Amino acid sequence: MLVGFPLGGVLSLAIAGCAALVLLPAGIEVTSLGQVLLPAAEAGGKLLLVALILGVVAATFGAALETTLSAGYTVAQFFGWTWGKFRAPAEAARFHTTMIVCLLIGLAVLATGVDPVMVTEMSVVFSAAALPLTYLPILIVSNDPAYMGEHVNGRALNVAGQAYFVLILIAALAAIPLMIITGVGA
Amino acid sequence: MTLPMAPRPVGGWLVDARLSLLDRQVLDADGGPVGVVDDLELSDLPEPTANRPVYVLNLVHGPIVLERIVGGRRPRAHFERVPWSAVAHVGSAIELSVGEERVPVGWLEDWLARNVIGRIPGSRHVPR
Repeated sequence: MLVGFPLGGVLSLAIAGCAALVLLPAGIEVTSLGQVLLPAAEAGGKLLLVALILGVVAATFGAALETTLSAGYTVAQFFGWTWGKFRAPAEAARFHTTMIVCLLIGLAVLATGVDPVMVTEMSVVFSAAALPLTYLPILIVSNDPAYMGEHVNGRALNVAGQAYFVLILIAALAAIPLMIITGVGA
Repeated sequence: MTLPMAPRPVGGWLVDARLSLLDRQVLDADGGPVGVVDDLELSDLPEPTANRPVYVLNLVHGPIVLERIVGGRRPRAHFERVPWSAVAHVGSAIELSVGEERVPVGWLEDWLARNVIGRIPGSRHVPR
């Protein structure tokens, strides 16, 4: 975790910086993921391009897995179905069916020809608006010794956690008005 | 008017059903998640003057919230019940003393397992 996250962050920043340096002066506005990589590929040659393609496949495939699993876990845990990837799929049939259905819905949305960048921007805004709803239960549970045992929040952690909650609340309240005012960054 | 405090049990412990039972995750004897407590089935309410307790008979699992929203009542047989006698421990989750095979599952789970997921190759394989 200490290696992977910083490395990923630095690489993404490098690609974004590279793209901005090359494309921005030329007045080119990026509309797809592939275009972001063009400057890096231009500078690094074929081998770097291979590495970039591998990275993009890993990133998008990983995100697809994560989103699908997240949908399955959310729905199954809400309704109290048997869930988990430690079971045989047939032992958690509703959980696995939910994931298949969500994957199909995702593909159907994509097949409508909607702009994926637009969908991403909208969903980021809505997830920011919903963030307090997921953060608050976690904050409450991390204060419950019955759940956390010896790892229960201390006073300092609690102050930090609640300060962060205020921050999230402001971001959540601002998200949708900002989206409307700015026209989704247009 | 304030209600009198609940009587302190002798030789037991006090459980707030709404806080510690409803909506809690249910784990089987192996610690695997098998459901949540959607409702409780209680013994018949005694006369108010009769000094007799009410018992929790079963933990009930099923889409009960749906009925509270849209109204109506489904047949009692449609709910999955776990008898209170199967409860081993009430903590952050409710731990049962019985295995997964003794916990009833709904028809949808059975149907999907047989007709959809069960037909996918490898669906009976337990991941390690």
